[in-house]
Amino acid sequence: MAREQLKTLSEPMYYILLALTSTEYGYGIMQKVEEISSGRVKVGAGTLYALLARFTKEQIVYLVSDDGRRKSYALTPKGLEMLKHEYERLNQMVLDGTRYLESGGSNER
Amino acid sequence: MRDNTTKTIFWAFLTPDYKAMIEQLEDMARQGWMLEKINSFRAKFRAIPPQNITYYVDVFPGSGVLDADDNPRLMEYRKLCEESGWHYVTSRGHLQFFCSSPDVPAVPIQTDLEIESNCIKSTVLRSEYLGMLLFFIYMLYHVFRITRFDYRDLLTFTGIASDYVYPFIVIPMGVWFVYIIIWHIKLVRCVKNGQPMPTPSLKSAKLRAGIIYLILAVFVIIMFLAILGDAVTGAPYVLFALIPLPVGLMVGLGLKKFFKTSNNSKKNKVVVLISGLIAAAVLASFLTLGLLSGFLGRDYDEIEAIPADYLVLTLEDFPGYKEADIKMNSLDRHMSPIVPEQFDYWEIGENHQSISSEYYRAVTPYFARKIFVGKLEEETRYGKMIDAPASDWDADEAFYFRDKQQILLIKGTVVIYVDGDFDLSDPEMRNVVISKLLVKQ
Repeated sequence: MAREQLKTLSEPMYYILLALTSTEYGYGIMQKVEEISSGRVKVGAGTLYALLARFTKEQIVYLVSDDGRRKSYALTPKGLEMLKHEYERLNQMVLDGTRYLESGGSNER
Repeated sequence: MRDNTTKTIFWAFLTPDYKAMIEQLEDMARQGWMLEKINSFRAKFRAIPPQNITYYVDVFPGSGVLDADDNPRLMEYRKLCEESGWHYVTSRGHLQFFCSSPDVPAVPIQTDLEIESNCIKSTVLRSEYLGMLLFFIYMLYHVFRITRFDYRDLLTFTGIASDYVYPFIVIPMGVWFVYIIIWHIKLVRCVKNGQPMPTPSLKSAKLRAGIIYLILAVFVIIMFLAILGDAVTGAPYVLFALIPLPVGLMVGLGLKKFFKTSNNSKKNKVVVLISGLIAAAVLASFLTLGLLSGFLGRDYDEIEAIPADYLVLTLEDFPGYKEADIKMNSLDRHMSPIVPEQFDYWEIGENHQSISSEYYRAVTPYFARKIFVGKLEEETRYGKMIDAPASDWDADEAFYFRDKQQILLIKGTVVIYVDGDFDLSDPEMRNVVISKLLVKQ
């Protein structure tokens, strides 16, 4: 499931955490992930359930409300920190790639 | 009147093939049958207008044996699936069955193979490996039985089935387990390489399950017939061996009902499970042993006349017999496919003189020798054996025990054991044994 100790995030994990920057309930998360990724990433109900259980256990997200009908979740400070860290990591990777490719790095050999 | 609104079919798949169920369920929907319920080996459908229905079979860790049917985790998971367009149909253990309309495509319930694979490992594969472990222990018991051969196993249908048929159950079970291990390795490889999960075709899945379940059914039928065989050929008490079945079934159903309706903690349920299993074992043992001792401890004064064709010795047969009423006697006639003729008789007179005789005729000299050697080992545990003149006894081999009042001999396919208050080395006594037990064969 989650990467070891959640040091890096898989694609669904990343998008779920993005979706949970504001309070969302289960199906809302699935819709928001699709919306954020412009329909490219879809998270199934089983996958979402397993990830939410794992995130809750590791205190990355917390249960905001449970009215018996649906549960709402949001990021904890730890989760937000993790998301920012992942965002910076991915950003750095893109910057590195851009710099290297635009300087014609692949043709220098 | 025949019910045309429902249909029940045989439903057997090996665990790793659960994805193949989807193909069958979709086929059934096209034929106008909608899944309603799935039990251990049966699936019930109800009639609907033929249509395309998309099914999904998922593995959910929170729906195991100890989990209540309405536990919050399961409810939340199903609600999420419902919201995402999957309608819950039924479940069997960890397997959850959903359907949706192909006109409104729903996102597959599992979209991450790594997560799906972890669910499978923690549920169905764990159960399979536990099954493997239990089966391994069972096979060890059989290996132990074979290495410690007991000639008495040749005398009953159940003994023969246990020694000569049941060890072969390792073949279908072995194939099953090897398939699971290979499937597990493939699954791990797919996760590692980011490939989709292997989905077997319905045809191959049905063929695999069909062959394995058929072979297992044959083994169950063989054991049942063996018990029945012993019951009707002189050992009705073997039927007591079936007592643990209804007891286990009753306790099992009771526990299942409790687990499925109670939201007690898992820890409490484990305590209830262990207590239930112990109670079932105690109850089954108590009933079996109670009935068995009641049956075997019955009064031994019931045999009034011995049928003429029974190869047994009575006190009356011997010249030194001091006439007295018979105080107690017991007569047993058995048969088995390997030893089709067996007589076991003993009697004690009012004057305390006694005689007992055992007669075994096996199908081949090889099995007769097995009985002879087994009996010899048994008797030498209690006393020294003395060579008996085989030619005098008209036998292939013979031994006396205990002051020559016991004789064990083998002749071709026949093994005879006599124990009485007579000197069996005396030619007159010897002739009684030979004329009654050996000449008639």
